Amino acid sequence: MTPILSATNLSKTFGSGDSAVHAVTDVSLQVQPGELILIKGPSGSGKTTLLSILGGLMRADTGVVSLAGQELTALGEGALAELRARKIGFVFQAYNLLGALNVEENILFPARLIPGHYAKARQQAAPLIERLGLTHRRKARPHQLSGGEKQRVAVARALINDPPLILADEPTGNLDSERGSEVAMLLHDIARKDNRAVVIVTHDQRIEDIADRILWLEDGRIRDRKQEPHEWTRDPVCGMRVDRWVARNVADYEDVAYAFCSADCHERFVADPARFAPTS
Amino acid sequence: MVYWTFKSLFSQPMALFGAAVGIALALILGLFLDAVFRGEASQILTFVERSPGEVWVLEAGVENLHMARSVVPEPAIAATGAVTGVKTFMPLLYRDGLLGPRGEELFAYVAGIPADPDQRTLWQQTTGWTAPEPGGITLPRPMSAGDGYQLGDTIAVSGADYTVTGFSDGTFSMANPLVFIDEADARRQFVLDRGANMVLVLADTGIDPAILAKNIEAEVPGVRALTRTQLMANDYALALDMGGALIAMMGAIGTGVAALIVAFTAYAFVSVRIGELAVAKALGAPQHQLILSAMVQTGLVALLGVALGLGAIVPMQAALSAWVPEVAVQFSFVTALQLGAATFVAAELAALIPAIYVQKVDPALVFNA
Ligand SMILES: Nc1ncnc2c1ncn2[C@@H]1O[C@H](COP(=O)(O)OP(=O)(O)OP(=O)(O)O)[C@@H](O)[C@H]1O
Ligand SMILES: [Mg+2]
Repeated sequence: MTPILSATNLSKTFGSGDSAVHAVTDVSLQVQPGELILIKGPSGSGKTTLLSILGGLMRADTGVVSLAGQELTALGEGALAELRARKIGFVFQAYNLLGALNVEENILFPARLIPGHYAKARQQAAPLIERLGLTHRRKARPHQLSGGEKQRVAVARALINDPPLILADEPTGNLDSERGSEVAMLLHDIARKDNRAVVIVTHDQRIEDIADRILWLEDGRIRDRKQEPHEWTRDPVCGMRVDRWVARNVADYEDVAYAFCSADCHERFVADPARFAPTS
Repeated sequence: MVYWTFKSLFSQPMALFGAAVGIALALILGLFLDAVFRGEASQILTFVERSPGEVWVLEAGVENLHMARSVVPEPAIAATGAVTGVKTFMPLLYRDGLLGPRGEELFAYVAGIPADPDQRTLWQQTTGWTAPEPGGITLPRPMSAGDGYQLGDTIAVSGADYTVTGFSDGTFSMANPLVFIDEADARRQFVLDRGANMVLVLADTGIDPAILAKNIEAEVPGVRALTRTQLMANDYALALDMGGALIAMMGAIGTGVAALIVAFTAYAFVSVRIGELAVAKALGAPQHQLILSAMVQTGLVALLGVALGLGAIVPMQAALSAWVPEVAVQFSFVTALQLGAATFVAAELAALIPAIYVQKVDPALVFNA
């Protein structure tokens, strides 16, 4: 399989002489369509710098980045901007929605950057907004939204031009646990169902659970870590999604295996299984 | 992009209005200084404009009233009166003097109005100002409001006391006001027994003042004859040249300050949008559209500011003449348009700085939480 994103021997140094910071050193990586990979590492290890280079927002000092067969390093600023609009969806920790535009307009903003694309994108927007549960908030302005809603808008905006690659820097960093899980699921679906490559920088454990691979970055250098396979199911009590492979609270009832998000849900289920088990 | 440009501009009406007011104030400052400058210059002209002289006869070589220490001798005055086409001729004394109490003197022009009853009447009728009796003085009206002079008060002209017997309009300049006294007083004060400083001529009906002026110069030796229009043009140019040295400096400083206000306002207006411009860029907006967006926004703010500034002129002129009558202000429509255009250009240039900064957008700007 050909990787959609491929980076070879990337290095980036800020400053020079004694004050030089080697933010990224000799990093190579490949991401396949449908793959969700995670970049982790201590603060200042170069995660954001690496993501900026992969997204064509910053140029590496040395090394090559190719996206869908196109070499970013060879492109001028104009072509690079166009490639960002067409091929990459960005999700940021601070959401970065445009304050003057409502939800729908924010989502459609990248579509206006591709000539002739807007009309088609408008039609795709409705199902996308529906999928992200934003239909009733379509006309709301960013300052009226909760953090979770804002991030779902940002995800929708990242998807509107149907890019093969999604880059996210701490997408759940500003969200509470429940909203964070929602966004993590969403990114997981985007990789699996839509067959996109998703690269996420995060410290969030919930995302670690859904990642195919985890790259550990330290002092700008990368270390590859393999992740266990996983299988998603729903907690029959609270409805939250849980991974069977890592869930500690499990129970059998009428020959069906159930997994729970917490001991609490597990207890409630055991006390009255008939109430929670789906009737067949 | 266009859509976003306008939406984001109008989504913060207070920021938009604030920036526009800043630009309007800068424009008003510039216009105000120009208006003061013009107002000053025009005060000097009012006297020439209203006096009963279509042709002004001065000593040869004199081109404006600033140099009017010159004298037209008695024979030349008589000869002027004899030129064909002269309907009336009025010898006038006109000199500089020091006005007010010792130590607080104001440099002033002092005109001696003819004692001859017919001439006095003619002068009063054409100018609308009171011709003073001997011992009396007519002061510019702003001096009654500004310095508190009342009818019957005493004021010194170069050391001699006069009683205030009238006020005139349009003859006050901060640099050098014009006052009127009686001819006999002026002769004594200026030590000029015979002759005059200038002769004011009205032409017979159907006679062109320009031709009459030429004829006077041809027939009367040693004089310079200027039409009213010529003299006014000369005096105005002179006022702009020298009378306004101080005001010109103030104007230069004011314009500089105004340019800074405009630049800062426009810069601040775009700077607060840098974050969003950076987001737009990260999402793939092309460079030229971002710069255009910043410039269109600043342009609209500047236009609004210019409109506000120009709109404020009329009420400001009215308010100023009511509150500070001693400051002569005269707003000019042409200057307003010129300054308005300059303001607009300054705002756009100032907006270019952060717009160009967008070119080097730091990804940290979009990634930072
Ligand atoms: N524009 C810049 N100029 C100079 N130094 C920079 C710049 N951007 C990042 N750095 C430095 O490069 C190193 C890596 O920064 P980077 O932001 O990529 O780290 P990070 O892994 O994203 O950290 P965090 O987890 O805190 O977000 C740090 O030492 C940082 O100070
Ligand atoms: Mg970072």
